[in-house]
Amino acid sequence: MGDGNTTNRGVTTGTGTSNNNSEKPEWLQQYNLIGKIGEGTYGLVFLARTKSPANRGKAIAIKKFKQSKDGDGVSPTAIREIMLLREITHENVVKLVNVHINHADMSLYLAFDYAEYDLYEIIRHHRDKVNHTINPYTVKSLLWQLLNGLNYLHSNWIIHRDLKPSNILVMGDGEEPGVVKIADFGLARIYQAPLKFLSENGVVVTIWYRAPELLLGAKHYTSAVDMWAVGCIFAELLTLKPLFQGAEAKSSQNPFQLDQLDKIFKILGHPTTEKWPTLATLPHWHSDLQHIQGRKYETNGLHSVVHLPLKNPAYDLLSKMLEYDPKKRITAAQALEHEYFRIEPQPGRNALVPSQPGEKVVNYPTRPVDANTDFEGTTSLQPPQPASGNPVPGNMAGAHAMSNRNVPRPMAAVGMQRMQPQGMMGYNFPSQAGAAGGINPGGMPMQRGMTAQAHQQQQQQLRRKDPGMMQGYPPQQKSRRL
Amino acid sequence: MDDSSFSAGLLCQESEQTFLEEEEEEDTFSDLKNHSVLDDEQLKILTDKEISFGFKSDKSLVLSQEIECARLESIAWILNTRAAFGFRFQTAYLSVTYLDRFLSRKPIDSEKLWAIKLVSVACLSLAAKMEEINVPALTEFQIDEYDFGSNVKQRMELLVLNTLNWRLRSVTPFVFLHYFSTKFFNDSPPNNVLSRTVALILNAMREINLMDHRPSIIAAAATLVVLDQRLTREALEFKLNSISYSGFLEIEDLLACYSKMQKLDTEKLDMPKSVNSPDLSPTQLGRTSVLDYPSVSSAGCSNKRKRLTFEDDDQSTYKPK
Repeated sequence: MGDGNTTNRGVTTGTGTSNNNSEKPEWLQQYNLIGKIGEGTYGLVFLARTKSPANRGKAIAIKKFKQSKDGDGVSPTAIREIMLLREITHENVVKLVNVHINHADMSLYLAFDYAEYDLYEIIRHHRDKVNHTINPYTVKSLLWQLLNGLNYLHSNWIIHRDLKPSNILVMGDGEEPGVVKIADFGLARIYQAPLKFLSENGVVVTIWYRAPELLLGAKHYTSAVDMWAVGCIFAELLTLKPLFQGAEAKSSQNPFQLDQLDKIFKILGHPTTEKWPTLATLPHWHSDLQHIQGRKYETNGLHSVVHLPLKNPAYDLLSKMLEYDPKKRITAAQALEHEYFRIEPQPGRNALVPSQPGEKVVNYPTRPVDANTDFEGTTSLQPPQPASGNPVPGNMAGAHAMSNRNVPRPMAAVGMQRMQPQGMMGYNFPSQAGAAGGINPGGMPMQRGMTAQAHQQQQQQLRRKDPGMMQGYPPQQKSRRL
Repeated sequence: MDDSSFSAGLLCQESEQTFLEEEEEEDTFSDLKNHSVLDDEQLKILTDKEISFGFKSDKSLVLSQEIECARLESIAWILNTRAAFGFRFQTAYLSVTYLDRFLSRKPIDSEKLWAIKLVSVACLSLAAKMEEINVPALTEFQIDEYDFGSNVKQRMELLVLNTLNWRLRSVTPFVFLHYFSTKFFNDSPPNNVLSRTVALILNAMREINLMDHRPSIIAAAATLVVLDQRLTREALEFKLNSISYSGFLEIEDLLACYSKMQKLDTEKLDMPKSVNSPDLSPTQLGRTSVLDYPSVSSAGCSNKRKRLTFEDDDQSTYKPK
């Protein structure tokens, strides 16, 4: 792990802020850069291929961390993510292959095995293009693998905290086709060490997948918050729609999300202290009495939303994941033992193959690549840091309500022939520009080499950050079909 | 040396008045009580991890006397800074673990003692980033007369991260404390056991290289010293066997660690400062543990350390550019 150079060059007193070295740093020379595939509050993600003879052409996702604020040193998010990834090895967790330090500007690059797909794109493809639900074998295999990875994390005292469809990757062609990889550990926490307060860093998971105890202001969280998110993702795999699409309140640092709770109550019925004894101790349960307890939704309508009969094992498992009381919520280990996984179709390792012979293979779209951006080009274009210090990833919450991919893209993988032609750039770019808008509303400098069209789309993206747009899926932008 | 002890002493007094409020101490201990008692499977995961972090490897780290002294000063600085920023004790301990792991992997030339200061700053800053909610900017970590720029500190952070292979999630004795105090005190440990054990462990950091003992052994030994300072080998063995899952604890290691801490605890009790109250509350103990060290640290540099000093030409020296 790590490149050999770092130890020899670790201490230099130069200021080293220049990004415009004509000479590529040594570590970078081992890759062929293909282009940019994602962007988020943490930084940028690139697709590259290894040059070394042993693994020639192997697709690698390179995540470049944004520079921390001057004087803060190495970013805590980067430290925590790398540290976590160094400790974990599991088939269903994304694999960190290398950490590179660019000494000139002290920036950090993480090299991951590339995954071509993610659940956000798979769900979107079925909803918008295929008009057909995901086949039961695929749903079950995706869920099974997701739970396997999560069970591993939880038994290693790691809570992911930010599970959502775009963070659940699926491998494309290669050695592990159709294998699920949990990604993006930027918000993950270890709880082997003491349980800590959620309010730390003001970072919380995307509100659609946020557990009710968090929405109600619980001071401590457990691994049960991840299981709630899995329940939401399970329902979304079944129906192709987010289960609880609340509109996000964005006033203060960690505002009360009444609408999200209301969406949950509307479907699951109101929680009661009989079923959830500690409910009355949660801060927001009292602070906003007339709103939160005012409307009463008596019945649980979950089965009608997911179109499953009450006695169906899939429904039974789902309802156990969406149990209000975190203490009673099913754990990942228990879920893996559930009857749903024992009945046909049995889950498999390649989630994307058809379960029955003759069934049509769904060809999911490959990840768009912005081939016009290179490492140097992007470093010179980082949006200015917000005055408040480190960008707060919480800003991203719920952002992917937009039709365009507007979430921090984790990482991905690409087959040889899949590189997008340059003309695709107009198509590609909006998916990446919007995320930057989340941390830098309206203020992102124009990218060198960026087409006017892309810029226009970016501006549209920025305007689309209006929370009022969060309901449902807005129509596709025309430009995306270019 | 004198200068730094002096300034450390000043800082200490200040910290006593300003920072060691009761509330802060409460916070510092409350999270330890939050730990659930580990089950056997969790214990196994943790103790397997201990080995992978290189604790208790075959060759013990031998530091030159200059480096030993510099290490003690660094620990003193880390403890002071912990108090000043209100960090948790684990954060201080973790940073000393990083320091010792760093020193065991990358020997520092006796001529470059300033480098140890810089490493200490990086270690504490990194530990704070791992453990603390509010992390001060690098500029706020001031050490003695040195004025390292933020860039230099950040480069050292990167060097430490790389040297430790980015493995910052070191196992510490603190995760085992709840377990051992419950086991050794027959399920009903008195209130102050945790705080006394923590104080003892923090004191022990100066006397032992943290890489020489497994964190679980340090935790077990400290808890046993708090339980009873005069346990015989047989009594220790008996205690050890009373734990359902004790395969990971070796009696020789425990005995060695227990003896070192036993001496420490006796020495500490001889000091007037720490016996101002027979019933040591967490607050007082926390204060003691922080206040103790200037005298011990300067004494340590003159005569207390028994390790041999010798120059090893093979050691690659630390050469900052």
